[in-house]
Amino acid sequence: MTAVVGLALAELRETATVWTGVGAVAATAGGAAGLVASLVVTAGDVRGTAALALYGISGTALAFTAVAVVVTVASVTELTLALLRGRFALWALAGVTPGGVTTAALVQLVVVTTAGASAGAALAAVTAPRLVGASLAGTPLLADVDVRLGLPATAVVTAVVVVLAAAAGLRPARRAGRPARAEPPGRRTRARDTVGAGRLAVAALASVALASVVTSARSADDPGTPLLLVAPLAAAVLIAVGPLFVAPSVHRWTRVVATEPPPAWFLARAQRPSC
Amino acid sequence: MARDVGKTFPDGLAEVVAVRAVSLTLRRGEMVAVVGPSGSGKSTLLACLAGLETLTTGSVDVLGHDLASTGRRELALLRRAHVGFVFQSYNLISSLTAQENVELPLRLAGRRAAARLRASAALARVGLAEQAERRPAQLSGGQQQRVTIARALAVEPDVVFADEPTGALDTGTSAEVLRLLRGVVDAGGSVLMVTHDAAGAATADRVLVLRDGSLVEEIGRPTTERVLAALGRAGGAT
Repeated sequence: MTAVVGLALAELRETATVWTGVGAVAATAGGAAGLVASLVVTAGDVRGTAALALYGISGTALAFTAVAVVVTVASVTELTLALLRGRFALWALAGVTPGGVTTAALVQLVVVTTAGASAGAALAAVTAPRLVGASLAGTPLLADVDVRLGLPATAVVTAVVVVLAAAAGLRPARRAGRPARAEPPGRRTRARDTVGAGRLAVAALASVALASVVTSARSADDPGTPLLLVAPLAAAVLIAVGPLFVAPSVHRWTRVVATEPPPAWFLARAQRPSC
Repeated sequence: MARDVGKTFPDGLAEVVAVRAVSLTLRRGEMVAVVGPSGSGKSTLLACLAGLETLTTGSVDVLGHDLASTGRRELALLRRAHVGFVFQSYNLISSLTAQENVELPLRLAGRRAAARLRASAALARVGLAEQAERRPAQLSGGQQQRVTIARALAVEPDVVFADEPTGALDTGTSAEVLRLLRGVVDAGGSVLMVTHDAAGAATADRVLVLRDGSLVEEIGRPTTERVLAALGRAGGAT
C-alpha cells in the first residue's frame, strides 16, 4: 500500500496538468457549495421565519449542487483517467494490481479535489457576505441578515465536496484498474439502454414522495414548505429514469442525419438560400 | 507452454489473423529467439505468451498458470514475482528514479527491506550504480534499457519476455544487453526474445521463424548465417 501511495503521489507531480480539469471542477464545487452553506450557517444565526426561509432555500440549492458535483466530477474524472491509461499500463508491467491502480487513482483524485475544494470554499467564505447578501437584498424578510460562512463550515464544505468527488470517482477509478479487454470478433454486443432495479426503486420512491408533497401542499395552510421539495424530488425522478428516454431520443434524433451522408446531402447543406 | 495459440484482430468488417495456431515450449534455462519478416506476428505472439493480450484460440501455461483462467490480480502478482519484461521502448515510469523503478516490483510485493539492496545490486550489475538517482529522461537510450533489464533481474524472474530489446541500441550496447539476458538463463531462468537482429538471435539456444503468423521453421544451435538464410526463406526484409 505504501508503495502504491508513493507511486500515486510521484505520478501526480508529473501529471499535474492532466488533473487541472478535476481541480477546477472541485474548486467550482467548493465555491458553489460554500455559498449555499453560508445560507445554512446564517440560518443558524438568525431566528424565526427568516431562518426557515434560509433553510428552505438552502435545502433545494444543496440538493442540486450535490447532484451537479457528482455528475461533473464523475465525467471529468473519467476523461482524466482515460488520458492516463498509458501510464497505468506501465504500472501494470511493474506489477501493480488492478486494485492498486484503483487505489492510486483515488489517492490522486482525493489530493486534487481537496486542494481545489478548499480553494473554492475559501473564496466562498470571503465573497459570501457580499454575493449572497446582494441576492437576498430584494427580499424584505432577509434583507438585513448578515451572511457568513466561517472556518468550521468552510472545512465541512471542503470535506463534503471531497467525499462526493471520491464517491463519484470510484467507478472510473475501478474501470482504470480493469481496462476492457479486446474481445474476439463476433462476441461484441451493443450496449443496451437499461435502467437498473436500484434506479427504478429510487424513481418509484421519489414519485410517491412527490405525489404526497403535492397533495399535502394543496391542503396545507402554508404550502411554501412542501412546495420547496417539489423541485428536488422531480429532479430525482427525472435523473433516475432519464436513461430510458434520453438515449432513445438521441438515437432517433441522430437518425435524421445519416451516419455516412451521401454527397448529395453535403451539397444540399452547402446550398445558400437565394435572397 | 503454448498450445495452438491464435490471435485475430478486427479490422472494420474484416479480420486480421496475426498469429495462427502456434505451439511452443520454453524450457527452464533456455533462451529462445523468435524472428520473422516485419508483420509476421512476432510481437503479437510474445504479447499473447506474456498475458498482455487475450487469446482468440489456444492456451498458454506460464509456470503452471493457465493465463485464460487467471484473473487480472493474479496475473499482476505472477508478473511481479516471476516475470520480467524488456521492451524496445523501455517502458520505465518517468516520475521515478532509476533506483525507484528497479525497486518498485519488490516494494509492491512487500519486500521493502530487500528492495533497496537488490535494486542497488541489479543496477551495479548493469553498470548503472552511479546513475541510480537519475530519472529516465536524464538517461540515454542504452542506459534506460539497462535499467529495464535491472528491474527484470532484481525480481530474479523465472522467465523474461523481451520484445526487440536491442532495437534502438548501438552495437556495443546491444551486445551488453544480450549478455545480461544470457545471465538470466545462466541463473536458471528462461528468456523468450523477439528480434529482427539475426546476430542477436544467434546467441539464443533455439530460433523460431514466423511467417504470416505461423511457425514455419525451428533452428537448433543457430548461427547468424543459418538465421539469415531462414529469414530469406520466410520472406526476406525485416
